[in-house]
Amino acid sequence: MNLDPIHLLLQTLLLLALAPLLSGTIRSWKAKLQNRRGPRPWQAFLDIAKFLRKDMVIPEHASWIFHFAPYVVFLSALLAGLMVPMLRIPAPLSLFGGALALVGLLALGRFFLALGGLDPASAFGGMGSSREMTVSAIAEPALMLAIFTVAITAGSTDLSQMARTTQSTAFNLLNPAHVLAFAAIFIVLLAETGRIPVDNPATHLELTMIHEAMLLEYSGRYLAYMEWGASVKQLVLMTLLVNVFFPVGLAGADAGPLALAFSLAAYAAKLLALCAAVVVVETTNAKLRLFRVPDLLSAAFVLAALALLSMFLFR
Amino acid sequence: MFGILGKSLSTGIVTTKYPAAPPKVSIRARGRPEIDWTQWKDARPAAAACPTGAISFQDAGGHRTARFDLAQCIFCGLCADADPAIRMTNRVECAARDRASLISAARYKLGDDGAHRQLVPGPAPVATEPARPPAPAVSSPLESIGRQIQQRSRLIFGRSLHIREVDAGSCNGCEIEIAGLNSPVYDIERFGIHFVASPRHADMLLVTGPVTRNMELALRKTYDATPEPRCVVAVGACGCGGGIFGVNYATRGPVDAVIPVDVYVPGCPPNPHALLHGILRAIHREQWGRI
Amino acid sequence: MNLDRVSPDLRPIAEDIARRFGNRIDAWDTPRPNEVYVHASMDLAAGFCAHLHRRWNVRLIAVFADDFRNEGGVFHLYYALAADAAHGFVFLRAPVSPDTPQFTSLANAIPALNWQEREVQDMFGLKLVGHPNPRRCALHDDWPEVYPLRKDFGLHTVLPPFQGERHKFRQVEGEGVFQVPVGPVHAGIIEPGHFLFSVAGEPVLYLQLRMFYVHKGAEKLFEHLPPPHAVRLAESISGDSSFAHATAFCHAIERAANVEAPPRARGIRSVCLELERIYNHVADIGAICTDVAFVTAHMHAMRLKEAVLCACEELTGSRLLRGMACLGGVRFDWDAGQIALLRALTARLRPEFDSLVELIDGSSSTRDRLETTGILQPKVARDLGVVGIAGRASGFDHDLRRDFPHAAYDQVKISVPVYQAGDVKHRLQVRVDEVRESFSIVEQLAARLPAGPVRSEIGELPAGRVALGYVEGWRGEIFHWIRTAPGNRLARCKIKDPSLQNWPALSEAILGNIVPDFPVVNKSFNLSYSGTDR
Repeated sequence: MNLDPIHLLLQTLLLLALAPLLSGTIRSWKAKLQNRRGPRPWQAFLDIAKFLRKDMVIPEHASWIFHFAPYVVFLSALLAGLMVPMLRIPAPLSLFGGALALVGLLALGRFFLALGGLDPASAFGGMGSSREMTVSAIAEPALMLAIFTVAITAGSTDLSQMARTTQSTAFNLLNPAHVLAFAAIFIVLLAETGRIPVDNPATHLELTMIHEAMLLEYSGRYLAYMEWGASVKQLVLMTLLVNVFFPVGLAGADAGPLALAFSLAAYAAKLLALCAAVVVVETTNAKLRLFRVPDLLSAAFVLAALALLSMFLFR
Repeated sequence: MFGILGKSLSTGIVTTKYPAAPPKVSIRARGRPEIDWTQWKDARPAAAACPTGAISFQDAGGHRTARFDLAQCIFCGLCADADPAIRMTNRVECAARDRASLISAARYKLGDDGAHRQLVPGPAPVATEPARPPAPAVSSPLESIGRQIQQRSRLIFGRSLHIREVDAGSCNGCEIEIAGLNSPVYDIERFGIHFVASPRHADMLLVTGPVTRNMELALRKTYDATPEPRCVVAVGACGCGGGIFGVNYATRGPVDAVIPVDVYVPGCPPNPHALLHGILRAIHREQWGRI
Repeated sequence: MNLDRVSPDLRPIAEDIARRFGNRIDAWDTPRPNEVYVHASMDLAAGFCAHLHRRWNVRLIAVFADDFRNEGGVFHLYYALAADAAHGFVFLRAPVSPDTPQFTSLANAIPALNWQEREVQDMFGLKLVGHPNPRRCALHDDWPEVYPLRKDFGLHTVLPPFQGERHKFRQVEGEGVFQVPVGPVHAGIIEPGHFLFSVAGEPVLYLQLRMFYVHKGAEKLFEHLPPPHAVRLAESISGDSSFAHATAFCHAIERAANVEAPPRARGIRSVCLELERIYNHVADIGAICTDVAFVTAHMHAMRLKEAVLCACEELTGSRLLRGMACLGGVRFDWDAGQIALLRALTARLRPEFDSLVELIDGSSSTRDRLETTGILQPKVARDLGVVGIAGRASGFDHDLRRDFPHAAYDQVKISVPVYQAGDVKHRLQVRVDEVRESFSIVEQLAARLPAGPVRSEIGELPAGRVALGYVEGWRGEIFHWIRTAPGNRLARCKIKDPSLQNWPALSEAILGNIVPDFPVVNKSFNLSYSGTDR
């Protein structure tokens, strides 16, 4: 494993900067579709900056887990992000197992997020944690299966290698296996980032929350890390979707500045298109009943399984 | 799906330009009353007509001190019906940082018939506040250095503010208008201001009153659960001055009888523009976008 | 006994009462043709109510007490019954001696009385006998032994701050059962109250409510204010029903003074009541959508609500119609321009509202959340005496506007939407139907608002009168019952908001549903905390 420190640093900065911007863009566009002016796209930055400077109120019954969880959530998302090629193949980091490590890191973050929700022993945190685990128990296998669809073509679970393969065989983009897997991951994206129809990121109703319920007891810096971590995780999943499944414009290892600039433009365009899709889904749908959520995620799982199957059928 | 998107797009953005543009309030709306202090001849009819005691007077030594407390005013206009020297305006932006600045008073020479003769020039003697229990000590020692906090909060909240709304006993009228701030017309989110579910996420408590005996503890706990720096905005006649309920066996009166208040937003209930004005004033942004 | 004053519709019932209970009745009082008081002893109550219910389908709308010790040496207990079909009210007044301050509970036979009887016990110190759950209700457990509505209790009595325990909740035990406490401070922008859910995973097994967090001593305060000021207090009983409550109060005073508001004022009152209904219903329709995260519909609803509120401001000077009601009529007359504005408003809102409903009906994911959620069975609704929107969605065909025409409702035709399903969807549907009905009522009234004054003079109130004022608010029926005292004061003002009646139904409707569906079920009832707690 050879590390390129500049590449590593640049991608880290890009992740940190782009993630809140993306959340902000989605929020801003949603507001526009709700006939209001809404926050500016960079509002999420200002919120995080504010929270970083605020004091904290720590619940009485909180243990070390409560203090530890925000860092784990934040760092695991960031680390996962370094394994996904954003502008350039290969990604700066390639841990053993590739895609498996990515899913594992996201699971680690979620595990600590749920623990952090449980730790202060408030009723809502516990409810949120239990719901989050229910959702992820189905979302996670669907994500794995969908990634495997591509991994089998590529003959590797390394994400950069997968992106390279899909890039070289352009026709692959319209391959039914590919499309099915793409759809599956899109549904997983909605679930994992707490979006309608699974969760409502804008809700004030403590009884219906999933993701927000786990954060209710956090304040100040910890809350900033939690929120930032969540937006980085969203960016990672989106990048996975646009760059591994649709690596148009992605620059190669020896790309010059022009190619990198083109890569950035293509990446931004693809992300914005994906944001638009998310916004449309969120605007036109109501939230599912909690017990219907597994149905939706099972659908994602079935799609991913079909993708895998058609992989062999239509080879 | 296309129906929904179509409806959204065809409706367009409906958000007001406030505060860059003046508030859109009907000419018939009853905003703050204006008293013509020089022409005012008799405070008694207006004081008798006022249901909340916002207009009051005190006679002593051949002089009368007439007093108007905007914080307690419910903008009903009954005083204007009773006294031609009082006129209802449609001005709704009344928020103030300082409780005393909501009180105006004047001193008159008293006539034999009980009407007052002429205005005594110069500032009226400092209106005496009704005896109120001092705000009890709260958990943080920082409270005493309010100015420092103000500086810090200005720095921090200017572009991002999270608000926790606490109903400490209101009739729900204020809540209707506060909920209206989330509507596409007022859209408080465009300022980077959100309403949040937990006091731990909040920078500002928006408290409506009167604080009932049963909600007193809950309000204190919510205040303590809000991390520093924080500010409190008291909303409505009941929250600012006790309103028509005042202090009785079941209520503790205004919000500042329980926790320290930074900004008062009078009204019953305050117009959404007035609420926006008060919230922006608390973060020193009431001039936002205004030329 | 003379029944000549009793209205022809109500007379058969009065005659039947006289026939059946004649020898046990101490006195009759008929202050108004549709308001009959029967004075009898306490032990008649159970049989009296049961008979009237069986024979005439009369329902009990309120039970309340009145401290009559200064005048007559006893407490009075009132059972207020409404005969919807006969368009009249029958009151049973029973004395309670201060030496044995107790009364017999009817809650076993009439579950609807549960909270009201306990409130009498708390506020007057009259002990309940035979109540299945005689714990405190209106006062929290930590309150000292005080009886706020007794005349010898001062309004400004200073009570010690909270200490000890607020309420002993029932424990629910079982494998995997845990308790989720919510409140009193809620996460949304709503009023305070405490809910304790007992859940097994997500399904709710049992829901306990602890209300009265915003008890503000309003009924006591009424006894200390001159009536014109009390109108403003009535506006603050429940903010979303400002005009309905204030009008109900004015109605009671007018009936006590035997004065009627002029026709134009009654027309304007009806229009204002309908405007209040429209803005609340539209807001609720939007809020129900937002509770299932269909935000687009919510935003359109908020926009429509804002348009109505602006019109209200133009018509009355206040967005929530405050300051408009007054004794003997309304405070402000409308000129031609304002009436034109009213017509323009309905003309503009009708298509907008239709497209909002279309939006909701067209969203299958929203419908899926609303249908079969939070079912309140008609039988349960009947037992709990559920009124208003929730009652009509669960098969109870009633509406004061039709059955007891007040304001100008005798001038318009009103059709009452009634459904049997009792789920969230149908509580929404009742609102949708009622908004359309309201548009039509506003249009009808605006087209032929009679000319003339808008206010009748009400002099000093005669002492010792009793009167019931009633208004169908947007949430359901609102009653204000008053007894006047010398010196233009009130000796008692009992306020009955429909919420008090409907809260227990929420506990029934949520059973078997899952916790995340609670907000939308709650919102479909949208009960007032302040109106309940006063």
